[in-house]
Amino acid sequence: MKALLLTLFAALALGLAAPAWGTTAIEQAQLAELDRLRAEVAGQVQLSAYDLIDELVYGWVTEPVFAAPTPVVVVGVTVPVGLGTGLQALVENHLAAVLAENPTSNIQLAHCPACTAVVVHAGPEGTIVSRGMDDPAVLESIGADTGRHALFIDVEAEGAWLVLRARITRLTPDLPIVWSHTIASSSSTPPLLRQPNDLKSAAEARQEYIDALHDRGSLAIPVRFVVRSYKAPADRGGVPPPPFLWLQSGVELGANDSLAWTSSILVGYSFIPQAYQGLMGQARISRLLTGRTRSLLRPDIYAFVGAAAISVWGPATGSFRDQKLNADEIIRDSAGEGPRTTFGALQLGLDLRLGNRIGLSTFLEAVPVLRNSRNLGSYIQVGSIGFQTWGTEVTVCF
Amino acid sequence: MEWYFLISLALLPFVFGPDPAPGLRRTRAESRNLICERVTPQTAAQRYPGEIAPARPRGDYVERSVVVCNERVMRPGLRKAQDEAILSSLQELTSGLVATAHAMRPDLADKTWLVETHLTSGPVAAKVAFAVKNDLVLRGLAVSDRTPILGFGDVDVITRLEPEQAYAMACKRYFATGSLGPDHALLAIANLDPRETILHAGICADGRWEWVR
Amino acid sequence: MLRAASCPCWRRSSRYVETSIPAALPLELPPAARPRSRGRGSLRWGRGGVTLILLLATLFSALSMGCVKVYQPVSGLNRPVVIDTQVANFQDVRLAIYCPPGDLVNAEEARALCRKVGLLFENQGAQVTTFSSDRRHGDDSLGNGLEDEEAEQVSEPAPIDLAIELRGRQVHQAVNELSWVLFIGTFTLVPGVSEFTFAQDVVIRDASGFLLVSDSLQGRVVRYSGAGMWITNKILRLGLRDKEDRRIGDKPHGELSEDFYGQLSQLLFNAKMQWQVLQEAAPAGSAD
Repeated sequence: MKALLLTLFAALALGLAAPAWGTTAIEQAQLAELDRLRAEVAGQVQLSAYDLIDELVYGWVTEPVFAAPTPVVVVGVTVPVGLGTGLQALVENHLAAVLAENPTSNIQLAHCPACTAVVVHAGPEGTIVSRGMDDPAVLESIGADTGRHALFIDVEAEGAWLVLRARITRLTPDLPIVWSHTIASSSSTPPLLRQPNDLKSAAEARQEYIDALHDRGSLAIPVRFVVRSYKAPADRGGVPPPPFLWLQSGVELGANDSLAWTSSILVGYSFIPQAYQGLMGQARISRLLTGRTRSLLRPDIYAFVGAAAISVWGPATGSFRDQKLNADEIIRDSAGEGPRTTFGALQLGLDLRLGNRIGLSTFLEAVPVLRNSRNLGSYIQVGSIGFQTWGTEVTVCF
Repeated sequence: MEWYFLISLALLPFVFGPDPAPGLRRTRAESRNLICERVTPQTAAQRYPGEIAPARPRGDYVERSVVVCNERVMRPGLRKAQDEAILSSLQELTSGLVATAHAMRPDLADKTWLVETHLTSGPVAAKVAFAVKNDLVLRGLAVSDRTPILGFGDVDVITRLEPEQAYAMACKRYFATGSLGPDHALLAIANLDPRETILHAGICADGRWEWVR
Repeated sequence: MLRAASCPCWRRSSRYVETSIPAALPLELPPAARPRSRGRGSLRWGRGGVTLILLLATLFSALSMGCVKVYQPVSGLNRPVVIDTQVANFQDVRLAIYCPPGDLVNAEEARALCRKVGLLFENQGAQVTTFSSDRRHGDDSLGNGLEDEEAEQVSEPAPIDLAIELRGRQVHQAVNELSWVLFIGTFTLVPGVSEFTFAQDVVIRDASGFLLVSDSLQGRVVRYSGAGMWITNKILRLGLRDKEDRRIGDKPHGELSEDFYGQLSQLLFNAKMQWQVLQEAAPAGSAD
């Protein structure tokens, strides 16, 4: 009985304690979410921090602080408040890598464990706990080979800016600051991704990026292979045209350097012996959907609208008429040159471009004058507008 | 009719450009994470060549205005509000304090400056000290990385005083103990109340303390 | 009188006249029998067309009334705020608030703003007096239209510690004309968009007029008109948006007030701390 009562009492205590446990679990979940968000920000900030380090070292290369290679101890590298020591280690490693690739900066990294260690100095004035570099006695014991200068670097997120501050201090009892610098980069500025062994100024790196983006300029000569397929009518009574193969070429122009808007004018020819021939002229306007500028690193997707004037003739073009094609007409068309049809068409489509050299696209085309044709069905019907043609293209740009 | 409707919908993505306000494509948090500024097209074209077209020499056909928005590096909530408030305008705060101190005491220009910070957050205090030292060096002043030291007994007494007395007393003791000399000037940066988002500065020179801002 | 009896071509009824005129007979009809061009059908079409147009216009007007307003803090209004506006942060601070009317607010709105801001600081322990202008600094641009209560206060000003001046102005206004064309063409499915950007300039001085804080808080309000956006917003709020985002388009003035009052309180607290430091720094006997 006693045991039962004790068990009941314990269960009651556990039940009353449950809300406290629940609160702790919520707090833990919140802390975990905060850590995850901080890690995400650290990942986004990392490349920009590297960029600032590159700019700092580039400054040392162009305007060295010291006339000759000088040992310098990296005493402190701090990262934005709220981000962890992982980013700190990455920044420190990147600094070491870039300095190693650029000896003309005259900054030689030196190791000084005594400088950064915490030392306790007891004397008549009292007991002092400090870093080694703050203790004059430690400074006196540091030899010239270890390094008589200390480098401090701080990276901080100030609103929309990432700011790097650096200073170099001479390791004498007065600890005078001999050099300092501040560099800032906006969050909207993409990192320049400079090579450590080929540092350039920010302006040069930016120009290199823009040159790569311009590539051959905003003018391109596309050569395009197109297959146009026509939908059979739903009642299967008419005879749809066969797929038409076209070869097109012309001119494609970008409206601006970013190639966010492009326009093209092309002419095309189609020929299948004893079947059909065709000539067409086509104009298109395309808009970049994946960003504001064409990308160097990933495919771009454009949406386009266009219009085409198509003239086809030959035995296989008899289906381009409103009436259902019958056997007599087929025989008559086969005997002679065949009918000739000219019509206009409107296109909507998507174009996938790789480096503005290779393109894959697909489109739907509506032929208003043949909207009542009994030889053609519609892939998609939007109100009274039917898209009878489905086209696929492969483009090579020169 | 359908053609007009279809064309209207097809033009839709091109009518509405990227808008920083919250809406269908942007959440409230994303919108509030932006720092925006309205500038003229000429200024925007200078800052962002290739992205913003400059005004034509004979004028544009429409009136244009540019809103430039940049995303905060640290999203709201990742740091304490006071830390974020101070750090997000750190350069502005420290530059202002250094400029005021330098202007108020030009007679101290040939002394060696030391910097001390008194903030509740240690990492933020270190950042503030770094920024202030850089600003002082930028103004051509001699700056030392040394931190003035007080004995344990002095610290014990000073921490029991009211703030307005503590700073003055600390200044006197620095000079009395020799931690600061006649060639030194100390610029102390402090945050006096956890509810404020600004910094105050005071100068300790020749054993005398005065608030600058 | 017609010679219609001799012509089989005429027929006359009580409701309409139907004519079939042989080409060889030059008839002149009396006014009463003059044929109407379409008869009963055309009269019905005229009434129906007008009704349809009126219905469409009414429907269009009703759909146009759907409106979603979205507020965006541009600069200053989204800074971090540390102060808690629910506690007494300004105990024993004598505060004067000046709200002069201007381009953005008229006199009545300025007085209302002053009352609300005064209440905000009274709740935080301050002793508040409100004015429509700061007469001490010779702001004569507003004329002499003071109310009796204000005139009395100006003639015998109460001692103050800090003075806040709030001035509103419009920074920018724009209408997306193409969106309004589509608004009409798609019967309000595509929203018509207009926006304006405002700024609230805040200046805080001490009793002697020394400038402590000067800042400009800018915000932007985007208005989407039309049923399409209104319906889409309502649907999204039903569950497709996070809880935080369900406020989008709903009472933007509440969100603006929250930001504005928070920033104003923070600015005043910073000014108060600055004022206290300057008082300590002032030489003895140099107060006021």
